[in-house]
Amino acid sequence: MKEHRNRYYAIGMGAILLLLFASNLFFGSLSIPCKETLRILMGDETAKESWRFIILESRLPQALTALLSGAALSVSGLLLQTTFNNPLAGPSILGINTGASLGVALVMLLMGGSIGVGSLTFSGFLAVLIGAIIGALCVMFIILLFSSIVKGTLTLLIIGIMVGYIASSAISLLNFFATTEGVYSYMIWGLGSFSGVSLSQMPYFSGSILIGLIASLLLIKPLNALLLGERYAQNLGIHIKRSRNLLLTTVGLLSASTTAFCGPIAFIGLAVPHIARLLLGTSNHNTLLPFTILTGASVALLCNLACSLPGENGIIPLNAVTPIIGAPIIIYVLVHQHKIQYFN
Amino acid sequence: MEKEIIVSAQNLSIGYRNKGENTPIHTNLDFTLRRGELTSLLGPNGAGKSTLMRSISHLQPTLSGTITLSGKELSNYNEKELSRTIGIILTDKTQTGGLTVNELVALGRQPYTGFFGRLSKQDKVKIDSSIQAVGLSSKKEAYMAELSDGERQKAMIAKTLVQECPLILLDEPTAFLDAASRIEITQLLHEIAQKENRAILLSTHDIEQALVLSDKIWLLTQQGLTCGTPEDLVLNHQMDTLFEGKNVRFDKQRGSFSPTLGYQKQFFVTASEESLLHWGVNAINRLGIGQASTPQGHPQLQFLDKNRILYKGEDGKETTFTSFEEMTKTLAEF
Repeated sequence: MKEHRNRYYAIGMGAILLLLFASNLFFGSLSIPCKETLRILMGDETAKESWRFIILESRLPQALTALLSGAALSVSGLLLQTTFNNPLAGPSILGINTGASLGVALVMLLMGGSIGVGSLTFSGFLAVLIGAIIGALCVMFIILLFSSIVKGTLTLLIIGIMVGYIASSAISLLNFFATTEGVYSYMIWGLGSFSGVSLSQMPYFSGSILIGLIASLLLIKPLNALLLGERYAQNLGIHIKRSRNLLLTTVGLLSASTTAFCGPIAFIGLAVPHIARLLLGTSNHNTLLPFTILTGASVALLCNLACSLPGENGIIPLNAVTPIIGAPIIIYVLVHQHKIQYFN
Repeated sequence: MEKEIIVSAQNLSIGYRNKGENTPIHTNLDFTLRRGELTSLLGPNGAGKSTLMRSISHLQPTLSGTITLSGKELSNYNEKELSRTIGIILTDKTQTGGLTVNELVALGRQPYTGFFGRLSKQDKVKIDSSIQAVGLSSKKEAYMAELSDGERQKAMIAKTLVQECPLILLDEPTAFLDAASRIEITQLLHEIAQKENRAILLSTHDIEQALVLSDKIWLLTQQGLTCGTPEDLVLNHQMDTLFEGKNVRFDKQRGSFSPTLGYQKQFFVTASEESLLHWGVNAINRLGIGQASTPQGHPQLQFLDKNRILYKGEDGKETTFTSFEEMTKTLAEF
């Protein structure tokens, strides 16, 4: 039975996830003895203060951020691929990440890091988060507008890439007029990193990601119907407009939260749904969606681990690692698309 | 006993509405569909078959007039009710290769399942029996990608069956299938219409099959819609209107369209049996030679069997051919 086999795959992926999560706590650019790490994690307060700080204030939030971001981006990719009926859709391809980046750039470079709404002032990361969400939703709205005009899915992808370019050039312009300081911090943010969420920000970050993930799990029924295409889904009683708006808002929340905190991360959203489908063989979201969450979290943790490979010589930018894992998978999928069943 | 009417339309106008302006394709359409009947919609490309299908399935608004479905006006149905009343099969591209037959058919239960789409025991029983009805029981656990085109179409039909709709609409369900699967699918639909007492409307270009297996035929041309029993339409010369102005004619004997050829010569043809006569005429037609009704003043061609064909020219000279190939080669040189 396929269901049984899928259960084993899910358990296996869960085990890999735990292993990778632990590795992210035990290994980093600074080597700390495993025994000490374990002691610190068990809550032993007699351990060396600097090590305690590194593990609890840096490695733990970083691992959590990687786990949540990986899940969020992958689910965004899966939702987009099903909604647009296109296996090459993803938050970075459709320009959604760039839209979020533009929002972030506006906040970081023009407003000096805060947005004023009436008497309320959001400052710092909240402002960045809101900027990212608005940017992502704007791009998504534009894509949605075009999706009702143009028919071919390839055309839509290219329009997404073009919208991304426009957002990019707006970002370049903002950079041109911004202060050196602002440009520098924006550039660092743009390299991508899972280290941007501090423990005090974690509740906000994890809260918005969890809301998005739960929302995606509640949308499994329309997602499965959409595998047949919109007109069939409508015939099955699915309210197309409402479902699509809910799906895209969920994608906006997930990819914008990640982008705001970790920078525009390429390829995880595009590639992980393919890894999950290739492993399971199914397009049924009942199993595919939870499995994509596990796989995405694992892949992101693996990428984060790879970033600290140079040891004490520094950290590799995240966006230098993700394409190495993601791009070969996309090429493999494209080359073998006639043999891969979910394409047919 | 007349079968129960499920769909009826009065004075229906269909077409497109753009910025408040109506572009009707057809006006004053009247029709009915009955339970237990397979109806085939025939018409040349561009006659508006898809528009008519979409209008009946409520995927496209009508311009004026009414469609009544199970005694209630179509425009008064909400989405949920519609999903339980009309099941459709389209030519749209799907992404279902990664679903098993079971999972695909289960999608048809969505109008009945709750928020999470969980299937009850009864749902599963219905799914099983629908898969059995289309003859795919042995492939229940197979992925859609592993099926042939004909089997995929059967799975889609099973999906529509579990939707438990009294009306099923199919847009060119046999378009991409080979001859054997086309016959099989049409036969299956005919059987489903009768056994499960559903009204089935399908659009098709497969005229021969439609005339054999449909209970009713709808002919849609630029002039409008003509409905009737296949035999009535054929014998009342209605079929000839289907491709009016085109270089084809309807052959009442064969129930199919064939090219109109201008014949410069005519032969008087006789044969020892009917299929030999049919193919003999077919061969000379292709050479631009027609069939004469009397032997006077025409060359004669006598098909004794497929290896003995006797030709007698107007000058009385006789030749015997031992195969069709030899015959067509020689006649072509005349």
